[in-house]
Amino acid sequence: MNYLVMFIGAVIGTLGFSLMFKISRKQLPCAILGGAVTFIFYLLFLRYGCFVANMMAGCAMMGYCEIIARIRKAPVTVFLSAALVVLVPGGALYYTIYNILAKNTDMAISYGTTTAITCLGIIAGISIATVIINAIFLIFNIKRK
Amino acid sequence: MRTIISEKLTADSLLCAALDVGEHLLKNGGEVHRVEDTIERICKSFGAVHVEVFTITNLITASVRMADGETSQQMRRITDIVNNMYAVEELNEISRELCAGKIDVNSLDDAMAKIKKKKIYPTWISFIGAMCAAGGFAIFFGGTLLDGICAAIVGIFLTFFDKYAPKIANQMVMTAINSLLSGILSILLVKIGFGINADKIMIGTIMLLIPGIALNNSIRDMITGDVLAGFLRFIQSILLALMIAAGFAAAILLFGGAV
Repeated sequence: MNYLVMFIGAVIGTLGFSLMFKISRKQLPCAILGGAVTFIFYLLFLRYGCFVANMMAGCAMMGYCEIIARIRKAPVTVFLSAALVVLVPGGALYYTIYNILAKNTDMAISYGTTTAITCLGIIAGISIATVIINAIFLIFNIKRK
Repeated sequence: MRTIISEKLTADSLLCAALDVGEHLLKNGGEVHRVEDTIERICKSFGAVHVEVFTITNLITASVRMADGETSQQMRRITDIVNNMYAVEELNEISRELCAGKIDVNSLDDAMAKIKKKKIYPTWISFIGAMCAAGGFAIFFGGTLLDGICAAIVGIFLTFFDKYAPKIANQMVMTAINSLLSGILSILLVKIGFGINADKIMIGTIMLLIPGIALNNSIRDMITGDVLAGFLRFIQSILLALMIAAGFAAAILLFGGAV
């Protein structure tokens, strides 16, 4: 599979969602960079399986968003909502539906599990990053915006 | 100077102003935690000694007690939530200025009206956004360039339908109808020979409809302790996902796919 094409697709997609979510012009570049960072981390850890890849990408995403939110003095949600769409398991969800309809029970279960594992991975990553970042900011006494 | 303002301020008007900010934060896609925090901070910085705020996905209820013992309790019901990150950013800024004493409660209405009136992007940008999002993700999930263009077309249609079609049913049913129509359009685009992989086009479109942000926020809410608020949004997202599944399933079955 051509990762460069995927990367370009992800960046265009993130840009699209950023515009739909009405992210202001001055935060737009940082929001798109968030999508790119998330996808690069996803690719880096893809060989360790779906769960680890999504967890590490979620972790990197949350870390990036928390840091950039403090630098740019904007709420974390602004950057998080743009970066997150890269990890949303739209493909796996579609093939789950399709295989249920096609009565391929095995495939449906396989894709359904992938969808669930992806969600779990993202959540695990976000939780880990939130805990670490809160601890760091608490130690160095950086105020939450 | 701030003490002078807070002496004139009644508990009712203070809480009303704080709830205005909170309500708009929630309406525009702010997190539950942020809404509660903002209301509490504004009230405290204008002389309230005791503040209680409880927020779930579509309701804010708050009570405040001033230093002189005057109390007030109000609540707000929120009907539809949109994603408007510009408004969240600006409201956050307003709340920070309020707390720092840079603006007072009386000039709050003007500042809020300015945010409500200002359109950060013209309407056509949301169509461009939908095109990029659907097209980009169709290619991301392995579609060809033509599939991307087809998904972009479906994306435009979906945004148009979402903006201008009469709201004949509630959000759940509208999502199912949207999914059905965009599923049909995706398959038709392949049938007339323009698109190549109907599945990739539909995946690109699903990305527009799927409540990924809401699902993520709901789980973050639950982790940070707002279990009830998170749980409500979680169930809502799962139901929406099922509605999307039902819509696309119907579209596939209609064209005798799959079965």
